[in-house]
Amino acid sequence: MKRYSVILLLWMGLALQVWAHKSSDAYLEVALTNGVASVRLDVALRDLQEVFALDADEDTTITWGEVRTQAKELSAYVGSRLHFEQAGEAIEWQPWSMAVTHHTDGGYLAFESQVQIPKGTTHLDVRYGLLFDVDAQHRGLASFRQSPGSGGSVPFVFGPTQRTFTWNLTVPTRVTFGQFIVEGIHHIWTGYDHMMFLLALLLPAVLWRGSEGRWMGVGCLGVALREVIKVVTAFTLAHSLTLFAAAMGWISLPSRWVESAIAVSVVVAALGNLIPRRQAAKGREGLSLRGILRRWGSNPAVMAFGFGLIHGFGFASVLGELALDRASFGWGVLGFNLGVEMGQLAVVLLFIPVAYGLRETWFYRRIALQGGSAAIVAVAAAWLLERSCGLAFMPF
Amino acid sequence: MGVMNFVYSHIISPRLCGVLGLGTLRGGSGRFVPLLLGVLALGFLARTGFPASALFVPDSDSTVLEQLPLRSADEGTRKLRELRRVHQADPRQLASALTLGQALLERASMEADPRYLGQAESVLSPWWDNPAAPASVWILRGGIEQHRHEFDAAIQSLKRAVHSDPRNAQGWLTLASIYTVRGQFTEARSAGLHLVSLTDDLTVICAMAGVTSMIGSAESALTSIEGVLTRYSHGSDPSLLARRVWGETLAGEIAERLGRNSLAETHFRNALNLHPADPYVLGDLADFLLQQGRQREAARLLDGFDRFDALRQRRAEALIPVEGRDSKVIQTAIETLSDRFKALALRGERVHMREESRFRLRLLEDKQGAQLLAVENWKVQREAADVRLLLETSMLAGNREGVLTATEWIKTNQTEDAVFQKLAMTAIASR
Repeated sequence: MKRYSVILLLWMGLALQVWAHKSSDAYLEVALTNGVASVRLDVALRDLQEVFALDADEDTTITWGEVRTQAKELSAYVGSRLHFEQAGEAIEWQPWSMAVTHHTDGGYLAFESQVQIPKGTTHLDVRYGLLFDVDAQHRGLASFRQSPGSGGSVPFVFGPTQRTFTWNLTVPTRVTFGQFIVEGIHHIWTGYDHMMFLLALLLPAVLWRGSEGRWMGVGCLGVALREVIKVVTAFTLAHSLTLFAAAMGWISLPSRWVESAIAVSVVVAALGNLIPRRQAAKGREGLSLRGILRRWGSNPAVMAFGFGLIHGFGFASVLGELALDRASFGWGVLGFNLGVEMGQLAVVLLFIPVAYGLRETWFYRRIALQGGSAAIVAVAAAWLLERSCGLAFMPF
Repeated sequence: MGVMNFVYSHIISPRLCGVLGLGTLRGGSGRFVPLLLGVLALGFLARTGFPASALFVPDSDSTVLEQLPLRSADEGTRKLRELRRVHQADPRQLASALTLGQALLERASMEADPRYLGQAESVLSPWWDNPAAPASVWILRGGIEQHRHEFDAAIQSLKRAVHSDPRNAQGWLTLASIYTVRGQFTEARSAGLHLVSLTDDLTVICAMAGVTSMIGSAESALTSIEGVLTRYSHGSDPSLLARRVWGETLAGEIAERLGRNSLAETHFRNALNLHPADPYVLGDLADFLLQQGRQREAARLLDGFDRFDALRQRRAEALIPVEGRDSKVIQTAIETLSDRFKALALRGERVHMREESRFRLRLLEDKQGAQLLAVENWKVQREAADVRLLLETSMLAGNREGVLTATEWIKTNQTEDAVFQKLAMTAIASR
């Protein structure tokens, strides 16, 4: 007998490379809306079999009839193993409906209920103790959400040593605020159109136009910095304004229009670097595009502000995807905007020293400023075509 | 689009890891990766919630909701049910807990079903953390941990067991087996030597051959297994049968590594004759056939075994050239397997990285992802299949470091492996 067990263990040492199933999981979803928590808990029938011997006729299948005869006990079991507490006080609740569902490893019973959360609850303790006594590897995979349908759920994994989750209902938590900042940074770093717009405006910041309309390097870093600060502040102010306005729902523009307008802004900003000043003789420019360009181009901060208003709408559409609810709204917008500014600042801090160092070189004037601006014009023009015609051919 | 989405696609992205020189993912600290996997798991939860699954209320009481994996007429099932009854009558009685725990572990192995492992752990829970528990508890615990690929923990448990009971063959055998899987051949050999005089020749020779065949003595390992198999070729008690299947499979693997393919096939088929429908043997033979380019035969062999995910994966691989990648059968396999890996990730578990890497490589054609997983897997286990996978994925992903790690390891251990050499030759040829 002893020898028999020896072999089995070793044999399993080899056989464990073949896997067929997964360990025991239950899925708990809690969604809180207006003080009512909708609870859904999916528990595997195979696991419930261990507790209730659901398969009463022992024919190795579990039927709906077998489940129904023990419905009361099943509900009582769930009710006694899942608790909601507020400041140490248990909140009364009962699982009231039972249905069937499937996950990757088979049939599950889904228990649903609504739990009244007392007014003024700031922290809700959720205690979970299903199945750990029969399966030490059981896990309760939970997801907590405020206001259904929105993103931003808080995940938690219940295990034998982690049976309580304290749900902080006073949104925003520091974490979500941090997440919005990260989203903002992410957006500016991967939102190539915003970056290109900013770069187009910053490229000439280390230069000034001489009397002949020729580019000259600025004398000291302070001059360049002042220029940069003006541009960045104007851009920030403008897009913050429209970001808030759009996020609050005061203004709503069709996204194709906004995206196309952003592409236009990039084209215009970069073109301003390419059109020499002397060709735009004073007095004859009137309302021509070139005239407007020249006047705006001579003051990048004005351009930054004007077009910044449009970019703000672009940011707002990203924020819309993050689906804020009322409670976290203000913090979310603030965090996101902060993230955008931080990302922007990082770009500026990377750009300035390099540009300043290279400002007198042929490379900077020809390749970086003119070549770069031309490239930006080309890319942005392609965007414009793509966005305004509803096509999709650009890789980013 | 969410923060976790960003974390997943950017921070975990192999490309970015390369760019940022995040050595931690490639070599470096072992603590970072579990943490990362945890974050990743939470990320999955935060990003997707759960796969939305529709609810329904059956119309009829006779609607079947679940097919339990046990066949009711099965002897083992009856035995298990009886053991449960005895144990439930007095859950703190050690003897019945050990018998039930052992039976559950057997089930876990036979059905390749980890649910039984958690149940076995629960049965042992009154003794689980008790340092003064008898060796038999620690041996069972070591077996459970070994099964969950928690090799470090398993080694600790088993060491504790053989420390208090140095004549425990089971403890030394499991230790030898884990050390072999991990490529710690010195430790494996010394654990194997403890077995001499504690158990019979068949067991000792198979355990030792498993080690020596990896370190330059494949030929003599094969000879001694074949010798001992002839001596034990009679008798049909389950324990002997299981050991013979083990011996034949091992002989098949070694013969394949020596490039003696027809001999390898004979041994694999012998094993299958002794134990038809054994998932481990089926997987091994299928791998052998796939390696030989005999896809149709492999697909036929595995027909009807899709309930084992690892076999489903192999059958899908075999069917790609026959049915085409876009065929329904392949797409269904991809969907099922990726759902399974996602479900594991939700728990924060990554025990089947070898299989997952292979899945990424052959079914998803994601070379970079497969390589990253092969590297992670290499930190946990180092069998012939693992070093081949590391080499193959690294070659395809253009990762020099991985190729070097694999070839250096083969050179240092003087491992004979025709399959590995063939892979390495294609690398040189394609350069």
